[in-house]
Amino acid sequence: MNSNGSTKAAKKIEFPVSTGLVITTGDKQGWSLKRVTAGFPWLTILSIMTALTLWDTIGRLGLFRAVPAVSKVWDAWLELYSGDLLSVLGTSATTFLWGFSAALAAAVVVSILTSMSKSIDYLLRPYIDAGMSIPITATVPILMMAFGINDTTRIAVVFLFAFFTMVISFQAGLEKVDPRHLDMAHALNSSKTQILLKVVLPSALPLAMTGIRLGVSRAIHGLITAEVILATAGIGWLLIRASREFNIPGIYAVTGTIIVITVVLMGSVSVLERRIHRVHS
Amino acid sequence: MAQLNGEKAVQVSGPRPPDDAGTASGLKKKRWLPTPPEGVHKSVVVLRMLSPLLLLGLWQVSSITTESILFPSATEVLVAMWEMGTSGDLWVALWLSNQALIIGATASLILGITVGVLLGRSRRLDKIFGIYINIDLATPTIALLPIVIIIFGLGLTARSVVVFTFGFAMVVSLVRTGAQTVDEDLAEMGEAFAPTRWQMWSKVIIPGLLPALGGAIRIAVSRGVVGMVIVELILITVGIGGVVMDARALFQGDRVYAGVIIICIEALLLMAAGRWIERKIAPQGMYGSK
Repeated sequence: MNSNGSTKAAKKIEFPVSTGLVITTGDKQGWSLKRVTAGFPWLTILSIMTALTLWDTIGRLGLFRAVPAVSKVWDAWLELYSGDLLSVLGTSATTFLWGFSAALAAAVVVSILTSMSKSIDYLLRPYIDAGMSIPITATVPILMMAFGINDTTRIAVVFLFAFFTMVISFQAGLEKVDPRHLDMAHALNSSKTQILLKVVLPSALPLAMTGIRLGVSRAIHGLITAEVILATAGIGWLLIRASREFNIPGIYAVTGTIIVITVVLMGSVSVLERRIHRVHS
Repeated sequence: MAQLNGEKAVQVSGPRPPDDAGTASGLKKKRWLPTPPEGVHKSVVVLRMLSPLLLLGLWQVSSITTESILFPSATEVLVAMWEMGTSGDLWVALWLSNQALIIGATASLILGITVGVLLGRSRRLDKIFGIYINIDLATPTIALLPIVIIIFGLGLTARSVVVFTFGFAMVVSLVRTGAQTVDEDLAEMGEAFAPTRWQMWSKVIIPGLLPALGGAIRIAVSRGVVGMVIVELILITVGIGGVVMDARALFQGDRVYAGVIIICIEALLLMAAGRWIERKIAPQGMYGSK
């Protein structure tokens, strides 16, 4: 918060999901074409163009049934778009938001509890470690039996995927308090709540933000996993529907949609994370 | 708890042999109760040790009171596990599943390490191919599964490829980071001795890579288990995942729970083995030297 002056010196704009896109601007104000193009990922873009062209050529020649032409995938996507793509995405988004926000709230509460009481931390640690280590995917059949094939199960899977990762990161953040700040707060006779709100939580923010990014990533994985296994609603179900119909361009269209949405979402969370890291360092 | 107190009381009141001063009684205490971290009361330690039993008891009681076939009791699940184990179904299913894991994880390690080292040591290659790894890392691997099945069918090949896909990008990114962060000071010092290319690699770069390789083994295995299970839960219902899905379709709750628990146990064991290997080949950890 206090280092706003020094950020002026040299700005480095890194693109999300570390795509290798790095734009460096100098210390002078404004953008010049030369500076922008200096770090431009020509090779990466060339590589993507080449790959797409190659794919399209193979598709057009019809060499493999599993590789449809790009134009066919685009047609399939348009068909999906005019069909039920948007409403299905809405369902997925709702599931995601419920599961993720529940996991976030629970992770905040649990990590604050464990940071305030060593006994609670000691009691819960093996279970949090276990939750981190076991493959949550494998527990989906149990959840399906417990809650049925419905939104509850999907939300529960998203929750479990995101929760443990976030708890671990939040705990790490809460442990990172500068002991000098704590001493200072104690010297000022602050109450426990004051210390938590004014000292501990702000210093935990950067790592917590990293935790949120990891949590979002895990939640997306959980969402798609649950939707694909349950196969009744959401974008994951579209994927399964397309593959049951042997609609190969359709599969590519849905997969592409998932990839684009994930990359954009993760990119925005990464940008937010980097902002918070910058403000706090 | 009573036993514990009794043990302690005997020790305190009984005649103490001369050589049994501090260490022996300390050891004995440790055997019964792990020393609690600072600020944790002994009763909490006991509670933590008992908590799995309490949870199992809670499970047992709540399942008996709900009387649902979809919510089997702990003992029913144990019986189902025992039956699956003795009848041999379990081992057949596990072997079927693990074939894919062995092939897929090995392939993801070999290819992943090769690609990771190449991308890590060559900026140009990273610019050309790194983008695909990054996209693969960000997207849920499960979304690629139908494409794998279209290309490779429904056999062992497809399952192995799925396991491979789950581990590959993670292994590459880990090894790439490892190769990029090989200690520059050490590399520079190595250069000063005018090494041959082979010497440079065998003496400096590969030892510097070892921590990342250890991590790669662990990741390939733990992600591989997820891939192995996921494909069996969705499109190719064979192996242990198939056992679980079939049991679910037949409302055999006990077998579903048993199968899931067995998968989790296998995952935990493999993870522990991976950690052990990781520690063996690189005890200092990935950033340990700094």
